[in-house]
Amino acid sequence: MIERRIGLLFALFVLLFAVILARAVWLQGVRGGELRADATSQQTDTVTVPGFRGRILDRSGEPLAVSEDAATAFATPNEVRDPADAARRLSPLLDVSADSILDILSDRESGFAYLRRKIDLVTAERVRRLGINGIGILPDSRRVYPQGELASQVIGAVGTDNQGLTGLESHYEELLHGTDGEARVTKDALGGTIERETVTGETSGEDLKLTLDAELQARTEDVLAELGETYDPAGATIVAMDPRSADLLALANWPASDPADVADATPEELANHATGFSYEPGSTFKAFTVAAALEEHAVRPDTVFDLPPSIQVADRVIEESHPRGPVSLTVADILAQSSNVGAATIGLTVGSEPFDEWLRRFGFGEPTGIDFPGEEEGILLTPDEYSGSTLGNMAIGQGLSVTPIQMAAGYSAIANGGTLRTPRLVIKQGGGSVEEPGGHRVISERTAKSLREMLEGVLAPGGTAAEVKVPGYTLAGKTGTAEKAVDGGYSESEFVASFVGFAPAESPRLLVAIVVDEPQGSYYGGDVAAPAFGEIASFALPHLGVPPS
Amino acid sequence: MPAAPATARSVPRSAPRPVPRGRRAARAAPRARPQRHGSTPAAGVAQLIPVAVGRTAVAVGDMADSGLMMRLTRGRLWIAVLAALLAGIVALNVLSLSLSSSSSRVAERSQSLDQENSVLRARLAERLSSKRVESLAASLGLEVPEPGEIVYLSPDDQDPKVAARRLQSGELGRAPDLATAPTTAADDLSAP
Repeated sequence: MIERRIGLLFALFVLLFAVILARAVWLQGVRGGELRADATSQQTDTVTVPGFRGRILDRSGEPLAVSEDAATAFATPNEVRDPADAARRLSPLLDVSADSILDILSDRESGFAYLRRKIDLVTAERVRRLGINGIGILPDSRRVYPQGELASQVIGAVGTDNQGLTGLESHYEELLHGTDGEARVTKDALGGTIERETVTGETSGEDLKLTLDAELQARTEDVLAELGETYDPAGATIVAMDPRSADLLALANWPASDPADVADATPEELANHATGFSYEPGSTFKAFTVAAALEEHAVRPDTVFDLPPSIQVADRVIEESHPRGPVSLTVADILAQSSNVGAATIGLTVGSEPFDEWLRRFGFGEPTGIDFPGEEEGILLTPDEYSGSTLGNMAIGQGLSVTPIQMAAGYSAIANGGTLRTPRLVIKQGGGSVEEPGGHRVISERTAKSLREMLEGVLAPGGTAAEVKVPGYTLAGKTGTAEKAVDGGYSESEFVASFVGFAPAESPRLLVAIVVDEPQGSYYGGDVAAPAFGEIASFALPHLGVPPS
Repeated sequence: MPAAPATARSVPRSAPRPVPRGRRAARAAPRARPQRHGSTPAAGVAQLIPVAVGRTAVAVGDMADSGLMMRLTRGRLWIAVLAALLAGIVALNVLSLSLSSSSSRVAERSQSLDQENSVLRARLAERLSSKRVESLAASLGLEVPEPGEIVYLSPDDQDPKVAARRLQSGELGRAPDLATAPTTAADDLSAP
C-alpha cells in the first residue's frame, strides 16, 4: 500500500516535472527570442550622456561661452491617453502654447516628437513628475553665454544639436565639440535603477582661450551701441588691438545679436564686419600713400607742396571735401588736414608700380590670415588694370576696397615700428598655446616713426580730429570719410565714416579702428568715429596699465 | 525512516568501515601496471588520466561513505546545513543585487551632482561677468576713474628708506603682526 502511494507520488512528480519541462521549452525555446527582447526593453534602457562643448574664454580666463546640462522634453503621441489634458498640464511648464502641444500630441500616427528642446533641469524634473504616459525627458546640453551678447559675432552660435553654426563656434568646431556617450541602465519592476553600465564614455571638447579682454570688449560695445543709437548706421565695427603683438583686445559689431537666440537674427546681426565688410577706406588710406612716398624717398615729412583747389587726373577732378583756395602744405599738413589734392599729388609722385608694391607689402588685396572664418580679402587692382585716374583715386583711398581688420593690421605696422603681423584672436587651443605671429618688416623704423609723428597732427589743433583728447596721453590717428560706390559712381548721400588711431603716440600700446557704414545725420569720420576712439582709449589705456605719456 | 540514523548511531567509532569493492580495484590497478621502458612522455600522461579519474571517483565514494557524511545525511543536521547553504546563496544574490543597486544609485547621484555642478558653474560665470560686476559697482556709486584722475607715482631710490622711517615713527601706522593677522578672506569676514 505504502509502495503504491510512493509510486503514485513519484508519478505525480514526474508528471509535474514533464509539464514544467514542456513549459520551459515553450518559453525558452519557442518564444525565447520574443520574450528576451520584451524583457530587455522593459528592464534595460540606453541613455545618452551628453559630452560638453569646450569653453571659450577671454584672455584672463573669464568664460565667454560654456556648456551646461539641460534636457529635452519629447512625446510619443500614440501613447498619450488624453492629449488635451496633457497639453494643458505641459503648457505652463514648457512655456509653449497648449494648442501647439495639442497639435503635436494629436498626431496619433507619430511615434516621436520633440515638445521643447534644451529646457533646464528643474523644468525637466517637473515634467517628469507629472507622470504623463507618453511624455519623456532626454538628457541634453546647452550653450550658455555668461556675458550675454558680449562679442557675440566673434564667438558665434551653436545649433540645436550643439554644432557650431557661426563664428569661432563654427571655425573651431572640431576642437570645441564634445562627443556624447551612452550608458545602459537596468531597471527593476518599479523602474528603480539596479545597474548602470557605461557603453561608450562621453568626451568633452577642449577650451579655446581668446586674446579678447572681456572688460575692454564690454566697454567697446557700449561705445559702439551709443554710436549706433546716435547715427543709426547700416552697420558698424570697432577693432581694438595691441599693435606690438597684433593681439585683438576687442572686436565689436553693431547691430548686436544674442548668441543664445540666433534663429530670428538677420545676416547683418550675425556678421563680423571687422573681417567681412569690404569698403573704400577714403582718407584713412592716405597714411599708406605717404608711407610709400617716404620709403621711395619721393617726399620727406617737411616737403612742401603747392596745392591748387583741385587737380585733374585723367578723366577725374579731385578736389577737397571743403572748398578752399590754393595753399602750400607740408606732407605732415596734408595728413593732418586730410588734403585729397595733396595725397593724390603724393601718390602720383610715387608712380603706379612702386605704389602697388607698397600697398601689397602692407597686406592689402589679400586676407590677413586671422583665425576667423569668412575673411574678405578686399579689392586691389594690379597696375596693368589701372585707368588714367586710378593712381590718383587710390592715393586718397578710392578705387580699392579693404576690410577693417586689414586697416587695423596695416596701421599696427606703422604703430609698432614697421612690422606687419597677422592679427591674433586665439591664445590657446586646448592645452597648446598658439604661437605669436612673427610678422615681417614692411617699412623702416624711421618711416614708421615719421608717420606716427605726422599722425599726431590729426588730433592736434587744426587736425581733422582735434577735439579728441585723452588727458595725459598723446594720441595719433587718421580720419576717413568715404563716399560709397554706387552704380559705377559715388553716392552723395551714403558714406563710410572711419577712424584709425593709436596711443600713446610715441610708443603705442593700443590701436583702435572704427568703421561706421552709412551713418545718418553727420557722416564725417572726425565727427562720427574719432570721438569713439577717445572714449575707448580713455578706458583702455589705464585698464591696460599704460602710464601717461 | 528513523531506523537508519539509529543504526548509524549504533556503529562504534572504532569499528572497521566497509570498503567498497571498486576502491580495492582502483587501488590495485596502478600497482599491477608495470612501468614500460621507452614510452614517450605524452603516452605516459595519457596513461595517468584514467588513473587520476579512477582515484577521484574513489575519493568521492570515500567521502560519501565517510562517518561525517553518514552522520549528516542520516541525522537532521543536513536539513539545517542545506537550509543554511540555500539561505546563503539567496543572501549572496540579494547582497550582490543590493550592492549593484546601491552602486547605481551612487552613479546616478554622481551624474546628478555633475549636472548640478555644470549648471552652477554657468551661473557663477554669469554672476561674475564683468558687465554685471560693473553695473553692481555703478549702483553702489563706484565708477571707473577718468585717465586724468589716476595718479601715477614715480619711485626713486630713497623711497624705501623714507617709508621705513615713516613706519617706524608711526606716521604710516603700525605694520600688522603677521602672527596674529588673519590669513584668509574667510577669517577676515568671520571676525567680529
